[in-house]
Amino acid sequence: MTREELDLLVRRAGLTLNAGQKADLAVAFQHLLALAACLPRRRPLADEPAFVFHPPLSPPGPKPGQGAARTAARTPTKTAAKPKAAPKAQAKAQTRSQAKGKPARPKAARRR
Amino acid sequence: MRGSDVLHHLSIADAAGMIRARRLSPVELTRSLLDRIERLNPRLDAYLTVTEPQAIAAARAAERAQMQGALKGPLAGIPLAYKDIFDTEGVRTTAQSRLLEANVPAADAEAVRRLAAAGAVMLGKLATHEFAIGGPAFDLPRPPARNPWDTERFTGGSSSGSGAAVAAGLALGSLGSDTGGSIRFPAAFCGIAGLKPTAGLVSRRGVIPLAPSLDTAGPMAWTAEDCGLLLDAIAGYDPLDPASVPSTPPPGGYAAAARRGIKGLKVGMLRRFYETDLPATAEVLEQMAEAERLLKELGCSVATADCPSLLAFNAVNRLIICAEAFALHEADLTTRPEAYSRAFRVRVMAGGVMRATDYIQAQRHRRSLAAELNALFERFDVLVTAATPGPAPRLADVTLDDGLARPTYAAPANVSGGPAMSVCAGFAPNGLPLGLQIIGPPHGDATVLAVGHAVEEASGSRSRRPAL
Repeated sequence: MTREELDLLVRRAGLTLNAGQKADLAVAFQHLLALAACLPRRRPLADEPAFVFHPPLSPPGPKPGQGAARTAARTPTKTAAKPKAAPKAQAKAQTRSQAKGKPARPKAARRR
Repeated sequence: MRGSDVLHHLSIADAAGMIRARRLSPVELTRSLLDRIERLNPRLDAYLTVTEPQAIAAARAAERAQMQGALKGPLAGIPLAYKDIFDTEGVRTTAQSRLLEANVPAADAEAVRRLAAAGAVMLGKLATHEFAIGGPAFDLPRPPARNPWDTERFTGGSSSGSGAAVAAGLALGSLGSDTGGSIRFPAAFCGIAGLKPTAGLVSRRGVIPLAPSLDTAGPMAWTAEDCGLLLDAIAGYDPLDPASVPSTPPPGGYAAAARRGIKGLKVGMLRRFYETDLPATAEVLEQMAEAERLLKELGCSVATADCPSLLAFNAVNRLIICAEAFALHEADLTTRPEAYSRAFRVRVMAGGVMRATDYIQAQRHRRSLAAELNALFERFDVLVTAATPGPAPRLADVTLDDGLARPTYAAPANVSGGPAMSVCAGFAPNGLPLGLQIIGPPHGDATVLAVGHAVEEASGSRSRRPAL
């Protein structure tokens, strides 16, 4: 890599470096190029799981003091299989969560 | 006793037993360690901040609970200290950087909060490489920590103060962080036990990040059993850490699991790492052969495990660290690069000029490598390899581009996300400790601790302390 090429990269990165700092960067960058050369490049196009974005599993929990009914209805607990007991259990769990000022735990977390 | 009958060299398990039996006062124990810190820290530079008044107050509270028979658990009254990237309420948390010299967090990191809730006594904050990567650095306001076995030697990093403090008897245990080996290197070079837990098992909330997709917080202590005791307190789901995962502790907890024995376990030796990919020194090769013999004697079946090259794991680990760390520090690196140590700049700044596609390809390859490594756990319960290629080098011989220029044995477990620990399995002829690395499948932390504990017991390594 020429000095001009490195200068361009440094400018693009928004860095303002003195000569010593630039020399250090040049050495480190050569190491990074060697590391990057170890990576396989020909992968199946559909090999994308590393890009998966996990959106929040439940809507944000209500702030302390706000009603709990909406969130409780959307985040069934294990007791949901017993229809009669469920509303009571949900309300109790929600109250505990609110009392500690913590957001509702994601559904996936509960299942495990 | 696994440690010693000298107060500052007690293991956590032994001290907890004595406190429970009212044979040891938490105040006496804390004072003993504070005295030792005052005497030895000028030589070791392990502590950046000592919180004596708070430590005495916490020890007194533990003593009152002791007298009332109301101890909170095995960590009640146990003096610990934390790497200075863990937020501590009202106590300066600097990451050993000029940039955070005046940083006083308003709340404890979640792991620190859990230890305080368990009754632990915080002695202070420990040295680290700047922002957990830039070190050892001599161009910062505070010097790097020194190895208690030989103060001219490197502690390993980045949890450098944690390794030094625990080995020297300046704390009974500590919290460190591991993004590319930062718990296991100092554990190996300082002759202690250090566990990088399964990714997501311990909350990183309130821990100053280095590379968020790799950062893991974990325990460091004199023994694997002590790491289990610390893990019992800090493990658990944290809804406010986006990387936290739900988990179920083993029956009786991690410390109990560490003592359960390892007869019948299937151990895979990752020989290619230390024999071919990064050949270890003769003393490490000898130690690995001895470890294999010990494991067989303990009732394990041992076979060679093959996996991708160390170079591939290292490339993925380093590229991700560089890119993510630069992104976190971009604002300061572009406006005041001179505020950082040279070591930090050398290791991070190139992340600003690497291509986005290299970072993305590293993340994609990470998944493949993790899958390949974790597939080995269909055949083996744990994998064993060296922790470092040799004993601690001289501080003067550590180069700034270490880690970029040379692979490490630590990277595979950072890439896979599984637990990995270094325990002291013996000593080189020059008296320096040698670490053995045990790698487990994700959520196999209990088995890793059990193997670590068994190796420590069988090797007899826990009876030797640095002469200071």
